[in-house]
Amino acid sequence: MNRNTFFFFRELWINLSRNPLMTAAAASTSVISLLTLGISLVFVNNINRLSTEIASQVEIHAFMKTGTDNYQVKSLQDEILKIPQVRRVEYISPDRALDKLQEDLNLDLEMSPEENPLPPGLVIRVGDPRQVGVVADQVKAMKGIDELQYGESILQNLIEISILVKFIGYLMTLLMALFALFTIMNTIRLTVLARKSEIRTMQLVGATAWFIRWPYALEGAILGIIGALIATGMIAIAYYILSGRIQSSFPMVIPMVEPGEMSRRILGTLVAAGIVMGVAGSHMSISRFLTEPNK
Amino acid sequence: MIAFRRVHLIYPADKVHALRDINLEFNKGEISFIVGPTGCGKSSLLKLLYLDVMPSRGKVTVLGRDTYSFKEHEIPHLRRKIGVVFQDFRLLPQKTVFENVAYPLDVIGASRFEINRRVPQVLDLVGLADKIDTLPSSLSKGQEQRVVIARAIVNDPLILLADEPTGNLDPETSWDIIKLLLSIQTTRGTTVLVASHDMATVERSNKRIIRIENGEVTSDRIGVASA
Ligand SMILES: Nc1ncnc2c1ncn2[C@@H]1O[C@H](COP(=O)(O)OP(=O)(O)O)[C@@H](O)[C@H]1O
Ligand SMILES: [Mg+2]
Repeated sequence: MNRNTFFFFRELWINLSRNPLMTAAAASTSVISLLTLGISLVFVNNINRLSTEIASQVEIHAFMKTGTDNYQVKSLQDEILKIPQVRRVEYISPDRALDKLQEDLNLDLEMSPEENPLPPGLVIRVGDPRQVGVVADQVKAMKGIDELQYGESILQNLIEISILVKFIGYLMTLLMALFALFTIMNTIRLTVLARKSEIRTMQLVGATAWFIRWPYALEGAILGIIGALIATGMIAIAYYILSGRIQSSFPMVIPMVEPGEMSRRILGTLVAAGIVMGVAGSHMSISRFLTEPNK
Repeated sequence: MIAFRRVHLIYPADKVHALRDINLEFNKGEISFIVGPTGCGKSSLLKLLYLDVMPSRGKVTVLGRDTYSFKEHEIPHLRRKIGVVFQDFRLLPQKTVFENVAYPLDVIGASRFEINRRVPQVLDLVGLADKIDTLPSSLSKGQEQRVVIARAIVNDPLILLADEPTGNLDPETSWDIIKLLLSIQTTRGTTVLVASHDMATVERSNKRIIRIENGEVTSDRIGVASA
C-alpha cells in the first residue's frame, strides 16, 4: 500500500502538472461552481440570522388592570407559562414601566407611585413567531388581562417574507449545488474522455480498476479543495467589504453574520462539497470506461 | 498454452467478420509469425489473447483457460503475464519513456529499487538508454516502437504478443528487433507471437509462419532462410 500511495501521488502530480491547461480549466470550473454555491450559502446564513433575530424580537405586551395585586400577577404569569408555545414571561411593574417610559422619552417627572397611571404589564416571548397570534388569543381570553399589544400586521408580514426568502435561499442553494455537481462532473467527463484511450491502455497492461481510479479520485478531491479554498477566499473578502458598507450606510443595525464567522461556516461546507463532488464526479465519469468485453 | 478452436470474430459495430473458423495451437516457448495483408485479421487474432475482444463463436484458450472463464477481477492478472507490443503503440502521452516502461511494474506494486534496476536494463536492451526522460511526443516512430517493446518485456511475461513490431523500422533495425524477440524466446522460454506483413524479415527467421487471408488461415509452415 505504501508503494501504491507513493505511486498515486506521483500520478496525481503528473496528471496535474503535465496537463496545465486541463488543470486550469478544471480548477476554474470548480472555483466558479463552488463560488455560486458559497454565495447562496451567504444569503441563507444571513436570512437565517435575520429570522432568528425577528423571532427573538417578537413579544406580546399584556396589560393588567391598574391595581392588580401581586398574587393575581403571579397566577396569571403561571397560567400563561402553561401555554406550550410560550418561552418566557416577564413581569413589568408600573414603577419599572414608568422608569422606562421616562428614559425613552427623556423626561424627568416627579411622580409618587400612587400617581403612576401606568398598569402592570407582562412581556411574553414566544418561541416560534408564527405562533404569536394563537398565543395572543389565548392570553386575551384570560381573566385579569385588560389589553394586549403586539405588531400583528407588521409581524405577520415579516414572518411571511422571511419564510419565503428562506425558502428561496434554500432552493437557490440546492440549485447551485446541482449546478456545481453538474459542471464539475462535466469537466471531469471531458478530462476522462480525453484520457479514454489511456485508461484502456492502463487496463491492457494489467492495471486493476481501482488502480486506475485512485489517481483520478485524488485529482477530483484536490481540485475540489483548491476550488473551495479560492471560492471561500473570494467570498470572504467580498463579504467583509460589503457587510461593512451595509452596516455603515444604514442608520439602524442590520443583523448580519459576522465576516469571520461567515468564512468559517462557508469554508467547511465548500471544502466538503468540493471533495464530494470531485470524487463522485471522477468516479461516475470514469466508470463507463472501465468495463471489460467478457460479458 | 494458447489454442483457438473454431473461433469466429465478428465486430458488432459494423458486422465485420474479422476471423473465420480459426483452429490453431501454440506451444509453450514457441515463436510463431502471423503474416498476411493489412486487414486480414492479424491484430484481431492477438486481441483475442489479451482479452481486448472476445470471440463471437468458438473457444480461445490462454494459459490453459477459456478466455470466457476469466472473471472481471482476474483479467488484469492474466494481462500481467502477457506482454503486448501494440500496433498503435498505446504509450501514455503524459509519461516519460521511463514512466511508460515502469508502468507494468507499478501495477504489480514493484519496489522503487526494482523499478530503477529493471527499467534501464530493458531500455538498454532496445537501445534507448539515452531517452529515459523524454516524452513520447518527441520520439521518432521507430523509437516509440522500441519503447513499446521495452514495456512489453519489462515484466518477464510468459507470453509476448508483438503486433507489427518492425512496422516503422528500416530492414536492419527490423532484423535487430526480430533477433531480440528470438533471444527473449530462447533465453526466457517465452511464448512469442509476432504479427507482421514484412515477409522478407520473417522468412529470414526460419520459424513457424501462419498466413491469414480474409480472416482465414491459408497456410501454416516453417519459414525457409533464403537471404
Ligand atoms: N474495432 C473494430 N471495429 C470494427 N471493425 C474492426 C475493428 N478492428 C478491426 N476491424 C476490422 O476487422 C478486420 C481485421 O482487422 P485487423 O485485425 O486489424 O487486421 P490486420 O491487423 O491484419 O490489419 C478489418 O476489416 C478491420 O477493418
Ligand atoms: Mg493489425
